[in-house]
Amino acid sequence: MRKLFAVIFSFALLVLLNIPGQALAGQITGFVKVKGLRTPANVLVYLTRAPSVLLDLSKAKFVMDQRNLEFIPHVLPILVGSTVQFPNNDKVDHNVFSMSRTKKFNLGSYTAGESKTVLFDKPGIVELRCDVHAEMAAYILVMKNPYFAVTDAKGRFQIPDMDYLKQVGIEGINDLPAGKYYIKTWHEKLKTQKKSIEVPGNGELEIQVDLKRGVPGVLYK
Amino acid sequence: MSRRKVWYLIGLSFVVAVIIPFSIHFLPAETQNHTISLEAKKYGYSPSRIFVNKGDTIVLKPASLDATHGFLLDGSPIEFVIRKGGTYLKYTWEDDEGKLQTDWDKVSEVEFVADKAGKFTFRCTQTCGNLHPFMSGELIVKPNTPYYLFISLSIWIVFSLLLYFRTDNGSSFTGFKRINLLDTWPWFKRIVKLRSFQFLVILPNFIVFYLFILSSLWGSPVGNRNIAIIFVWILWWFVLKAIIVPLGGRIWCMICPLPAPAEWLSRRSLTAVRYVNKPFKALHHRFTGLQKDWPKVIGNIWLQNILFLALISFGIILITRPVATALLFLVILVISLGLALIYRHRVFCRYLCPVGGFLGTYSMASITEVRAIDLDTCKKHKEKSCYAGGPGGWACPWKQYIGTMNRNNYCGLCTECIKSCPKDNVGVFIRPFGSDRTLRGYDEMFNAIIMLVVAIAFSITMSGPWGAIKDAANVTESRQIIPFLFYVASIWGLALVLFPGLFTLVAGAAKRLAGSRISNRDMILRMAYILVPIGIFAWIAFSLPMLMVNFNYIFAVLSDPLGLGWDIFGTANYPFEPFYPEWIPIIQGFIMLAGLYFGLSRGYLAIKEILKDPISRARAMIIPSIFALFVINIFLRLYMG
Repeated sequence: MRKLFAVIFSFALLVLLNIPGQALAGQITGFVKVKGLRTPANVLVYLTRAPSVLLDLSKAKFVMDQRNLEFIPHVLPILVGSTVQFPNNDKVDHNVFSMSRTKKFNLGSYTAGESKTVLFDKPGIVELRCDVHAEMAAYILVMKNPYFAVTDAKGRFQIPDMDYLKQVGIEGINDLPAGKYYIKTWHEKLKTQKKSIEVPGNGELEIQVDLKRGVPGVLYK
Repeated sequence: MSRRKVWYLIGLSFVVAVIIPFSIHFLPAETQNHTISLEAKKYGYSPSRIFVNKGDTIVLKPASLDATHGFLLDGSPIEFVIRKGGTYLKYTWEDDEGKLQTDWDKVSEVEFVADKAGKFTFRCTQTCGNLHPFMSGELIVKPNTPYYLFISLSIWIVFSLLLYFRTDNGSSFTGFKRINLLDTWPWFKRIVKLRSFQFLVILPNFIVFYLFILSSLWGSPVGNRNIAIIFVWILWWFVLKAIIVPLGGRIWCMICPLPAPAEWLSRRSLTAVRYVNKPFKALHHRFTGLQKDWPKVIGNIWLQNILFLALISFGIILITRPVATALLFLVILVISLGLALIYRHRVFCRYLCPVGGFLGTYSMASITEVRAIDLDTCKKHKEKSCYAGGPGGWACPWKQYIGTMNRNNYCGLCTECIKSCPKDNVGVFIRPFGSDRTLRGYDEMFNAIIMLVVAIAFSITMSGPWGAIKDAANVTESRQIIPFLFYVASIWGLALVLFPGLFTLVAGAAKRLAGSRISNRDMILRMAYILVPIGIFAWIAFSLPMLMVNFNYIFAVLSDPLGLGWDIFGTANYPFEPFYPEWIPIIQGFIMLAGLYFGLSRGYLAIKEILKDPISRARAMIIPSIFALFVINIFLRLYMG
């Protein structure tokens, strides 16, 4: 009986979430134009507030790799409450640490082949550094909701970024319900931009964001 | 053949000489992608030369094996810094106020398209060590049309000149009539006649020179951060080679601060003449010291030749280490002082100064001369005040008698004779380039050859992309004794054996073709004059890029002369931005072609004085012209190929 109820309930939930979604929801696609950077890649574009979604982070797998004296990727957006792995796939030792308010940690020096993990329980920006190699730097951006994307080499993005979410093991994210939202950007060398947008009932919203060199703001006020 | 026909042929051959290399330019070629691992190491890149075709895409994967190096490609915005940890590519943008901003991005590879044909040098931008200013590599984008064009033009010049010599009716290359500057500018005469003239021109130099010694000893040991190195070996060397020598000949000797203390000491006076009235034909002055005569056996420039070669063997060390430069100056100062107390006249300048040797030889071609206005007046004047000294001026410190002096070689332009001559019979003349054309001895011929060989050697060692040769020359840092010995042996061997040997054969062949009965010695010494203008222009071509590329250091060291972090004029961090570096090969090509023209035309005038028959003159010029063409093409290959 309970099993049956569960099936019906989840079916009803699916219908509730999906059917109106398909009718009254859309995606945001677009590109950023940047003045003052060599490439428009690695710009985070996200919604400050979005409809709350139940998220299953148990299968999520975020990895900040270390290869050839570099953190890969340079910008890693994750969801609050997730754990990030820091494998050392380099020929030399690394010592990953963060002095950021969002998450302070120091993993200590460890050799190639080893991996360590850190849980990020507060939203915000985490700047990663390596104690051994001063020029190594990367950013973990701890997001409140899954409606974000990082631009590719040509500056394009899509929210929600289904490919990325699938890759890190997060499922069950739907398109955005129609409505008014604020879209915001973040890049370590660009001024943060906030823009009001309206997602139409069906189809896609195409936008362009022009960014300028400057000091970025915080992710969430 | 008539003159008119010759001009027709010269014009026609010019068209052919231009068309052939340009037709290669328009041959179709497929474009390719090249992925190249570029390793930077003190003081060179590997590969040192990159060959691609026009339109090819180049992907560089840079890595540094030691210090932090840079990469700046001439004529292109591509610039990056290569550290051990990674490569940082520069990018620029305009901010809201329209100012250019720059930043660096860490990248693993740098991609660009070679869209211009020719040779482009890439240079290190980060002060990476002693030889940093010479760290470079070359990108050769084929078809290298400019290079082929200049080869073609060099052949055309030789062909045209030979045709022209063939039809010479005696009036060729006569140039203009000499102008006496003392007549033209009365104010100039008043200045030159001042007793304090030479002292006043030496004084600023003298002060600067001692400051340079101090900065060499106590300033930064890094060459391009020390004002002495930058001002002496980049600015002074260029000004000397490219401006002073061709225009003023030994004018440097007039203002040289190095032997000045010795002269002041021996005269016991800074400006005034201490005249002693004596019977006829005696020295009218009294000097400090033993006043011995310089030994006759070494009364030539052989010692200068050897000393110059010896200095050049350590050339790259000398011009990059401030301490070495200071030591050289101090040693020169001490030797010149010591010699002034033993010998009469400026013996250091005449017989020992390594720079003086080639200044003498090259001043033969310069457009300035100090000469007697009327030789008869000199002959009739019994006191010979210019030689023996007079109340108005000291006896010639260079041991020259202006009444018979007809070459610039050993005239230091000190202007004493202008002041001492009671008949006002000495003038400063402007004359056509390459007017003294007689080399008097093998010492002078060897000097011309040594200078040419050293110009080639420096072009390879300093301007060339070969790190291994720089290592060999830079023995005090690289500690590679065997390659260094090999390097030194090659320079000495080329300068003293191979090149003179080759030139002897050339002169022999020329004499044979001329079918004349003049002596071998006369022929080879006359022919050697060809090497004087070529040498002058080769040195200009070598030194000009040094200035065009490194001029920023002049502004930087002016603000921070000792490399201590000062910023007096706000230019201490003047950016390293070479001045139109993509034009350097073309400019060098033109300079070398000018050298070829002046070398052959003035060399021709030199043998015209001993060969009266026009046909045998023209025949005599054939082999030396081909030899000159060969020499010029060595330089073209180094600068453009």
